[in-house]
Amino acid sequence: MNQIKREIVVIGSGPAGLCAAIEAARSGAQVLLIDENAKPGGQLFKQIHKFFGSADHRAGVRGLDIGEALLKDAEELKIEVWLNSEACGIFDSTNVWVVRDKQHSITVQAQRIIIATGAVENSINFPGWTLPGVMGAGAAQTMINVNRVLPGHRFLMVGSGNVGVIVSYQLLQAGAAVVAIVEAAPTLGGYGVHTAKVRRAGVPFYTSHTVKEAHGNGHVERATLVRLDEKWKEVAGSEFEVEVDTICIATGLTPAVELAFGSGCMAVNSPALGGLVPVHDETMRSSNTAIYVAGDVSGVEEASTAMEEGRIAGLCAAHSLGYLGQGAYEARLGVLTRNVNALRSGMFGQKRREAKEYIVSSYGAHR
Amino acid sequence: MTGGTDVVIVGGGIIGLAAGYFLSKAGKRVVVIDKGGFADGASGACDDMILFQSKKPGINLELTFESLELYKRLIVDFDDSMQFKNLGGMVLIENEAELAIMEQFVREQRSYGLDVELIDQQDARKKQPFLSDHIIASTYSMMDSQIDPFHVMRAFEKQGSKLGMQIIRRNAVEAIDLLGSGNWKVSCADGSSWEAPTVVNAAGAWAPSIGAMVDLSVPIVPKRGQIVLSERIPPIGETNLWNAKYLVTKLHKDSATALSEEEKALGLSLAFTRSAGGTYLMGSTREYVGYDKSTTIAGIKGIINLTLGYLPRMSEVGIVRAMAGLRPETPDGKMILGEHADRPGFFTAAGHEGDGIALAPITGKLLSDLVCNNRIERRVDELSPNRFGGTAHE
Repeated sequence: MNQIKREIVVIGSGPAGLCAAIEAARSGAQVLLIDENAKPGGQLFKQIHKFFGSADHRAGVRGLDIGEALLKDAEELKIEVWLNSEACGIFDSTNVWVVRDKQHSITVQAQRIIIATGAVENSINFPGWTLPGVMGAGAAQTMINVNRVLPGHRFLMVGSGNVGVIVSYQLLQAGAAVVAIVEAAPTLGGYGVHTAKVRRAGVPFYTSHTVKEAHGNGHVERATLVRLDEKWKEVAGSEFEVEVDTICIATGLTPAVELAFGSGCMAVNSPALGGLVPVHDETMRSSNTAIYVAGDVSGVEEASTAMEEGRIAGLCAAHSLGYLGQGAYEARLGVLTRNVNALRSGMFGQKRREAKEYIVSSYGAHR
Repeated sequence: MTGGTDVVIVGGGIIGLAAGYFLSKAGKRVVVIDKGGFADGASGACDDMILFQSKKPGINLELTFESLELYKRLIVDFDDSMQFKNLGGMVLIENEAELAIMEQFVREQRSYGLDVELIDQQDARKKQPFLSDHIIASTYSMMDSQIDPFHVMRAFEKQGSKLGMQIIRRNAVEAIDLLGSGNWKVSCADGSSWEAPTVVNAAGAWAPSIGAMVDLSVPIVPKRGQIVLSERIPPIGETNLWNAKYLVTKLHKDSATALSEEEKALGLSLAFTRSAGGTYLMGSTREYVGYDKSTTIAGIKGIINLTLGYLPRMSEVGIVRAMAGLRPETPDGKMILGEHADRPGFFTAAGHEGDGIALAPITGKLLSDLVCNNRIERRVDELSPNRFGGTAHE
């Protein structure tokens, strides 16, 4: 069996994984970064909008520009990157089974593993949901911003969270019409600044509404919307139809935890951050002390937080292998921890901060 | 808390739940206790076969017939198909030496009433267009059937609960003591305990440790079976598939069919079955590794390569998951069912190895008859826990 050894293997090259790899390499560790996609960067390259936060977090910079800068850093640090490489499983705690180009099997014996596998889009089921034209909002975003393909002309957006409103705005920019945004909750979910842009463009929002059915012959042609009462039950007689050819589902994300749980990492339930996540401590170390987690897989937040978590995981994994003196390590960890706490403050961040604190507080019980 | 009941069943897998259902139906108050969650053990990490063709003529084949009939009756009684399907099965033959042995085996099975035949390469390919060219013949039986273990367990649980069966999960049994009253006291990790005149050890691969609590030696060894699952694809053939190679080496220890080193080390043999969900289950390994339930790279690769040897086009299909279960193996390949000598009221119903799904209903029914002292045929003596000689735990 084809076997090689590396000090740190980072799985997933999105914002968290890239930052983890860079931080670990800067700390002196030998890093292998693997990703199943043909290009690194994960979701960063479809984020054509400017990020929030303070100047430290490159606020005001567009996601794709952050991605370019990170790839340049990775290149300068000569980080080994394997693309088109799937991590099929983690065995005996630290052996990563990788299939490259769907052809070659290689087992990488790692001393530390950083799992940064991100999250997957949730779906909702309704009659007609398998018709061509029903897709995840994130998928539509990839098509317009990365592949430069407009998947439809008249869109219905299901979900008014940040993904729903940001993708709606970008669809408008790409030349499509957004016919309606429906939100099952009685209030809108996204940040005001994103929501307002879409509203100013004249897109109607329907709170306490959902999609009841998609119609069409071989492709979406119409959708039936329905009002929901305070118990989220459909109100009979409130149905109406909209003419759309594409329905985007933006109903949240679920951490992609299969690899982590398959390798024996213990789970904790965090409803606010997407459900079951690997329990971890402040250094992003999981219950398996050779495995670290970072980014959405450790609880769904946003890209800036994912990058800081990645840096913490990279730093701490490298330090656990003896890299960096104690003083330098503590100083750097202090900075990164302050950064991530700053991102989890304010009216939007507080809930995420409490949810993270609960995950970390569960760590002791799971060891 | 401490409670009194008629029967305590240790182990809530498919065997424990089947026993619980039939005992409840016979009017017993039943408590089922399991250390894990629903389908955490072998019953949740297996295929779904009611397989006849692998069985040597004898009690295992006989009981499989009866179990299938019981399943058919339960489907009606429960008004629940439990995803029962009857796709039939083929055992693939690769060379003349295997063919000679399988001809003999099929003759014996037929004389026992199994509807099975040999078919030639052309007919085999009609049923399985994607077979490798080197397959020279196959057996075919339309009797091999499937039923979904999760649905079966849910159904036994639901129907048993209607009759008053209690199920306690995530609570390990820690001690079993005989009281002066003649009742058994079953003590659990959370401090609760149950008293009952009858205890059933249905702990599968863990049955020895439950037996040891009452100073009994239960000769069951855990045998790890790894299984790989494909993505959902349309049916690629009519039937489910097995290979003759492994069966033949079991029937004839020094047969001409040689297993590769890998096949020997992992105990690999082909089992290729279509699940209710439209995925294919590919198995399996047979490994003696104690209670280690992990999947391994060698095991998964071995299963994939084995499958590709028979169905080369499966290389175009994605793998989504792998799992492993511990099959409880007995020295003579027959389950252990009955009351232990010198332990009045202590029964074992375990040791089904790979036949737990197939044999669950008949096991539950026979156990219930034994506990209730119903008239039962002498043949069940063949399964008695006392057949292994001394009862004292070493």
